[in-house]
Amino acid sequence: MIVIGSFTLATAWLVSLFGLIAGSWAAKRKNSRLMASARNSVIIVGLLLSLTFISLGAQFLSHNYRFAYVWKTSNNHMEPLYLVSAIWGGMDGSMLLWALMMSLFGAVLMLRRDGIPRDILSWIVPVLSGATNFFISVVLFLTNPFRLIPSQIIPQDGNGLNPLLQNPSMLIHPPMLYAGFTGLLIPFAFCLAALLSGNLSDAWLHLTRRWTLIAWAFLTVGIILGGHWAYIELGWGGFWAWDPVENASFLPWLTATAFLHSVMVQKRRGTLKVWNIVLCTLSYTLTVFGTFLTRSGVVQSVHAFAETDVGWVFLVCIGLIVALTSSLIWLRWNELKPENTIESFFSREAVFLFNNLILVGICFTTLWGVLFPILSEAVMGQKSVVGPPFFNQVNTPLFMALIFFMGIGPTIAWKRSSRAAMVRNFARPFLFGSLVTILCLFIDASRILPAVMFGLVSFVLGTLAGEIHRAARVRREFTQEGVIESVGNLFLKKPTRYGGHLVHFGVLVMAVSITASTVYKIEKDFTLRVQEKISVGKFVLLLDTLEEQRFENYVALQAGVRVLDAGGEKVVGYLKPERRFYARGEETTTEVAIRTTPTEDLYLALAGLDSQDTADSETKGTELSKMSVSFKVFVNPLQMWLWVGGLIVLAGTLMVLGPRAKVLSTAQELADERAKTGKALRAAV
Amino acid sequence: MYNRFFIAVIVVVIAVSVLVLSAVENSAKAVLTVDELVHNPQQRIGIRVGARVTDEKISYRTNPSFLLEFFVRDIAQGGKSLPVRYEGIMPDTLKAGRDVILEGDYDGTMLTAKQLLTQCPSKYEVPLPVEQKLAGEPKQAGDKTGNSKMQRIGALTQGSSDGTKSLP
Repeated sequence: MIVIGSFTLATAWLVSLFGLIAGSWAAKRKNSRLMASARNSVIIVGLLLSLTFISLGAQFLSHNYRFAYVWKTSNNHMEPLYLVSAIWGGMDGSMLLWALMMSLFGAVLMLRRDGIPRDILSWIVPVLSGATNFFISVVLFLTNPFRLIPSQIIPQDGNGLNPLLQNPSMLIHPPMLYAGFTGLLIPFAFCLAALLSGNLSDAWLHLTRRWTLIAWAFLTVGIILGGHWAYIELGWGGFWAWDPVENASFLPWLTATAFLHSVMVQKRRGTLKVWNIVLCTLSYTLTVFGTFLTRSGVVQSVHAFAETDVGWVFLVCIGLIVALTSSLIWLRWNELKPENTIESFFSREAVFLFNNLILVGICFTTLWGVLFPILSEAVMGQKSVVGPPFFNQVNTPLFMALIFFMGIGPTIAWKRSSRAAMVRNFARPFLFGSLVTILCLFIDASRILPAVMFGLVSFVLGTLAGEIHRAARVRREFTQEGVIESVGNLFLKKPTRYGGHLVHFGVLVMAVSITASTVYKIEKDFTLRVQEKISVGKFVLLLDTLEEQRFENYVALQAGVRVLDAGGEKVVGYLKPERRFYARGEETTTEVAIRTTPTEDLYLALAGLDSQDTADSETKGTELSKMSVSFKVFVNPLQMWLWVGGLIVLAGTLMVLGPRAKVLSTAQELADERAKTGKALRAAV
Repeated sequence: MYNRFFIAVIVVVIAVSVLVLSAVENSAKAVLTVDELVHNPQQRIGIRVGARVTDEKISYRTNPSFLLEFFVRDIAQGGKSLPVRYEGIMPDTLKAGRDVILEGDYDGTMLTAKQLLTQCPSKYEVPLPVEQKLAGEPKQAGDKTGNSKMQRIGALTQGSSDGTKSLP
């Protein structure tokens, strides 16, 4: 059986190949007719892949089990929304989604190409086409979702999606992440086009800023959503396990964040040019590397698709990218000489450089931890692994340093900051931060790192407050505005700058939440019979009811737990954790019950009946009231603020991306700005 | 005129290297097989073992505290079995034939696990419906069950959500 999808997929492969070959030829020969043709091919590929995707979706919605992929990842029980999410629930469909998103980004870029210099645009086209063609090749030849099952008899029902994945998060988390990953192709395409064309003015940098921010925003949201999903769904009380696949999504985020900052240094001081090219290339390359990790089976992970041959193809792709970019940098070395040097460590460019080095450092350490099993086996003959303790031990000081620099960077002057200015900006926040640390140590002398962290956060808050206070005061010298109005106008008139401050503030909120919920977490395993109770932290938990309910494809063990205050008198909540047993595949999932307040989360997971015979359900009905059941409980202080902080980060990013933000779009504008005095320049960035 | 860029780079590189090396020393866990442990009965601290639960007796109590004891052997057939002791909640997916990842200490005879992860029985890849296999059927990408890799590495694809993972 052939459906439209297989046809459009193959056509997309041909068209993108045309875009690559014709586009390169047109760019080299400066043939504008062929160039227009290649440009349009990018848009057509986007359309074709959309049709392919819709066609595959139709097979899912119509339960067409002739297709192996549909059979593997769906069944008759699933609601339409989960059927849609099943499209990317397995290897084949997820690769198609990746190719689709990549092609859509390319298509949108072609439609919004105003302001891009001709020579750069002409090379962007073959880069986009080449990258898209590579991923379409993977889908078409290696992981084709339109493969048929070997059997001649069409199955009546499918195998079904892993129940763990049948969750609303499945609808947004992978697409958001993939949008982040594939979106990073755009800045890279600009970067590579600049190198290929020889147009190494700063044009490529500020043209890509918006695109980088958009991709970064998707990636940030995708990662936080993943953490949230793990938290509410998996039942181990945490949101980040330093799992290899989690890390794979984190690596490009780190370099992209670094890139967002160092771009500003090149714009202002004309330095770090090669560094920016490297970061931009790394960010895209790490997304390909991440997909390699996930699909090659080279490291074991809870997220990984099963081991396949597909993974190694991505290594080849990475090799090509690295080889191409390195040789181009070598070729264009003379045009990449810096216009200035870093004159002082007490300057914004130096602080941004430290910020970058730390982010890249975290990237390196995380990568080291992920690859450690392979490295240790190769070098020492004995395979070893490292887990969360390693990552936390190494990355915590690095994150703390990052927070520290986050307090200094936005305020310190470019080029060189005078001692007087440093004292004026940082003395009081530093004092404030130190006082907070001392206070924390006074309350609990054993926890040094959290005390320092809270002190650092306070320091940064202090510098932030100082910034806003000084800027608002300047506004009010010239206008009749009140305090609140002037602060509001700061955000309205300079959304780029103050959106950035908002993002940093969101990061602070997340940092506080992560510190509190990790260090001061209470964890307890216990068993209860009905009407028994136990005290945990400042709560008392009483097992009220224990029931079993049968549903269409699973049996649920449900517990009703009354939450009381420490005295055991007042009811402050009611939690209903569940454990589900799926007959098909003999799988179990846990449905966690969480009571969220601004001060803490009370997180309750039902681990199961204490008897070993969980399979036999008939006799249980009458005896449940006498059986004992095990729970895992966590009290996670300030947990909610992690998600709130994430939203603040998103809000700040949207502010920076918003319509009022003034983004310099031509090299001439930038040169003009650079010629003016410091104040005007600060406004631009 | 010294180059501040390179100084900054070197400082950070040194700091990161120090951090990484000391953390690795503290927290790296050797991955061993049951056979390796049983044939070299010496004390080992901080190891990881991927193995399969045997059909020997699984004993579990919840009073006065949690204590789970069972036996594992290597996933490859016909190996010796190793007793395991775990002071925590028994995952309801734990039974004979299931694969587990254990992290803990070995005293020469028994493995005391501090972390226990069980594998979900259904893997991500399942055999497609075939009413008869044709000779020389070409292998398709994406259909491996990963078993050979499991034996070699001794670690597993895990999909259990039973919450027995403990925090660092």
